[in-house]
Amino acid sequence: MAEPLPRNTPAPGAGEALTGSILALDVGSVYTRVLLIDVVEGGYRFVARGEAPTTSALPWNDVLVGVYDAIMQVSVATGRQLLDGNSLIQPEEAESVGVDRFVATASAGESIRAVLVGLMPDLSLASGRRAADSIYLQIADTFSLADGRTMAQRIDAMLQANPDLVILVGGTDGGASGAIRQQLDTILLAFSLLDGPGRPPLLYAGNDEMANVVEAAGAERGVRVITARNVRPSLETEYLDDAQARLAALYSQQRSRSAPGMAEIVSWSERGLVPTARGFGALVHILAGLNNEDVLGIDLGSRTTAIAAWLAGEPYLNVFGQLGAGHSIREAFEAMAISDVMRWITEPAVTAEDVRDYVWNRWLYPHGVPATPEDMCIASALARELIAQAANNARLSWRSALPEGPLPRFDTLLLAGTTLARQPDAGWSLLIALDALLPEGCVRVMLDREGIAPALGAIAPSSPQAVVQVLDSGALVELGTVVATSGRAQPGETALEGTLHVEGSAATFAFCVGQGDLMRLPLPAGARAEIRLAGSHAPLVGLGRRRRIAVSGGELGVVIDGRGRPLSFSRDANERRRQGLLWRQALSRER
Amino acid sequence: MIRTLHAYGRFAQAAHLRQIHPLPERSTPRVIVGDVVEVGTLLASVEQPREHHVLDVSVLLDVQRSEAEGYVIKRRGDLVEQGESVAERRVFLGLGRRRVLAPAAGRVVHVRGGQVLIEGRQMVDEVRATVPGRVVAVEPGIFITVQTAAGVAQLVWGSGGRVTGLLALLGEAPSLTADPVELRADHRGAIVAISAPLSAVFLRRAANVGVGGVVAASLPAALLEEAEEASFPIGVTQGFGSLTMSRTVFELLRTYNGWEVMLDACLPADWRRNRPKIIIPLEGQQHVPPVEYSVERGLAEGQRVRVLQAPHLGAIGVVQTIHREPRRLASGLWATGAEIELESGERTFVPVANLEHLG
Repeated sequence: MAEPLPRNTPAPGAGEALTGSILALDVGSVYTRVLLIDVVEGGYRFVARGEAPTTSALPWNDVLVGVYDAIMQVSVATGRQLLDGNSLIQPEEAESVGVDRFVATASAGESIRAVLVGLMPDLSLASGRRAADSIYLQIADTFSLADGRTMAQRIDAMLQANPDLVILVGGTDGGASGAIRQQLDTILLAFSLLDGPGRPPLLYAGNDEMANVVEAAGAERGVRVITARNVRPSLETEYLDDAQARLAALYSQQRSRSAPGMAEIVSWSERGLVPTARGFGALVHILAGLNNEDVLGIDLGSRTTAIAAWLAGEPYLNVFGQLGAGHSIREAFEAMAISDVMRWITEPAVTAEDVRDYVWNRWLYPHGVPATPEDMCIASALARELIAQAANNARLSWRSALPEGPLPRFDTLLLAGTTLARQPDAGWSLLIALDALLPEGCVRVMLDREGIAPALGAIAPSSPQAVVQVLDSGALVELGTVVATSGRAQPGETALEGTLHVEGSAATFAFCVGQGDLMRLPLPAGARAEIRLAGSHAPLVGLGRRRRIAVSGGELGVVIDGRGRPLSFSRDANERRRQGLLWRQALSRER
Repeated sequence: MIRTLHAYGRFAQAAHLRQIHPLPERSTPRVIVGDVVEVGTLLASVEQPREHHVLDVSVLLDVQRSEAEGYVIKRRGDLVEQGESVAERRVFLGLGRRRVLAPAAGRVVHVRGGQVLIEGRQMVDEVRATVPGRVVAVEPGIFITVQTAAGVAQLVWGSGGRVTGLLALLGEAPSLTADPVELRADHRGAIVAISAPLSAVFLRRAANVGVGGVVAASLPAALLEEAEEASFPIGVTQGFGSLTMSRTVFELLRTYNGWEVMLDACLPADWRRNRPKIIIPLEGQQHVPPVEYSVERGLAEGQRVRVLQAPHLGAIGVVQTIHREPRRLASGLWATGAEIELESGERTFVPVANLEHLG
């Protein structure tokens, strides 16, 4: 495994402080959300939220329809006038009229189609791909020196791909330039076959010394060139931030042009349109910085799933365009084994055929909500597999992680996205995440119930203290702390036994969790406690044979997961369903 | 009204149908607003270059790159035939010639730096009208809209393709089974509609008979591959699984049984952008005056709606009462919605997210 590579770190405390109200908009594939954040009693608080269907497609074909709806809901809820006709009132004119700042994030719409051109597949192209993973971008084709195609074949492939963007990477700073020039010639030759307006922009993030050459060649041929710092300045170093920022800006411009109504939204915002995943990633990285810990964030959307991580001092963000619970469920399902999905089915009437039918109906109507226990059960089963797939794909880019086996240990887990945030019970949300990720040791779990995380990440560069204060006010729901065993005791044996001692209280709860069981111990949000383990117990990953573990509370308190890793399932379908129901009941607040 | 609905379907015995034809980028419109078009009229086309050939003249003629352009005898825009000389250099004291020949017929599109680029055969993508009517909007590179007076029943899924034929509705009432024996030789070329789920046996029988197309109430997902490979277009009215046809859809099809209709079984790449449908052109035919299709933004009492999720997937009903406070569903989720009276007379609460307004 390569040594960790130096990269930029987020600076949550940096930037200019804001005063006054902030309206945050997120245009998702299914829902458009508007959040009002304002100063209340000396600190920033999340005040109100509006939500409407996203109206980017027919029959409306205008995102503003949904945006106005959502804004009006916030106006009604708060008594604050936000719109003057069709214009956002900005800055705040008087108390309860307008807002001081506006930020917008978006994930709706098709991914940007890009062709990635580089030199070496394992070096510059790998870094280029990681940079591209930070926005909603689909790599339609990749050219490398080793792809075995002639220049003519590459030109054909480029035209066939019909990209919205071409990304050129490669070469270390000050290194050889001939190969870059060769790839550039191919790109420009292909561009020469397109009419001026049909030429996609070229993002160059390769050998710094070639940037001027690329810009000049682009200018000569009428190609818009955007340059970013080299994603691979040396063999040992990777620098993605600048390229990712340029990609985010390109995303904003592309969306403004292609989605009716989006240009108006961009005109309201100083920062343009921030990709939702980038906002989410920024917040995960801020959480990590605030507590100096490793954080994993999962945002399970309808079209895409974003995995943001801060691990061993390194930030990561991966967006998976074909892994979603609605719009892209059909493609995602193709990569799943039906037997894996059926492991999680607890409703006796649900067959493999029902799951297939559900997937196709869900794809037809991705905005619907499961109305029957059977559909709810299938949706939750698919969510587990989607999250597992996404996490297993993302880990391949985590330099300090093994490509297989248990996930690295994270201190905090943030769950987001409608599928996770809107379960009948918070315990169901947690169980989906535990089943999919199989964390080991001790992990604090938070839930973004209001869909505020991307907005906070987008606000952070200009108003870090607003983000910190909103977080402090409990905008993210603390679900509690999970303590999970990694070993596997024999059925019937004790997996973990001990007592929970609540800080500042004489309250003590004794627990004894059997192998294969889950148990909840009461500990409210904000409370802290210590778990003292009794007797001999299997080592807890990351904790060794420690007998005292500090935990924090939440809606679900402290969850002891004694199921071991990996989970074991009965071969008998009835027994497997019974087991699944017991797990769900153990974590549900409503029994 | 409580809020914008997520989805809208079109379902009408007679309406001004505005059929949007999405266009490929860089395509050239071949019609203008006001033009009257028939099914199949060319609306737009775009030439898609497919093959390119790069000739490195400096290498092939063994000359300096800076000199190579002087040996090129074709200029940008010239047409060349396969084997035609593109560049030449005299050798052996002028007695012989070294030639660079065009590897394929095409057009010279680039001559620079010793390189010649030939664009080979071109393919043309065409967009043709799918309904007869009048062009009412042209947005180059985006869409062309044709308005027609027609009966329309929006479908939820199509296997791809489009066919016109006589509508042949089998059965007297919505049913859970369709007997393949009902398919007769005189259904050859017809668009056969069944009010039951499609079965493998029915599908094979339909292929043997040589039907023009099939419209079924539902399709088990397990049969998808076979349906997609069928030699005729297939449309589904309700959804995936084993569902019977909504009585409203059944009655519409019965009204036009024996009429010439068009089955547009387009693949719903994105359900909101383009959806499959049955179109019954009414131009020139005696019928009720057409009404303009309109989009209501919010849910309203008296609206006709279609249910988009189980347990009443595909059912059509009328909004009776709107509930502004969330209710708990059988799934355990909470949602705002409305009391719907279904065709069967049953009243049920349906979340607003699971309703589609039928215009």
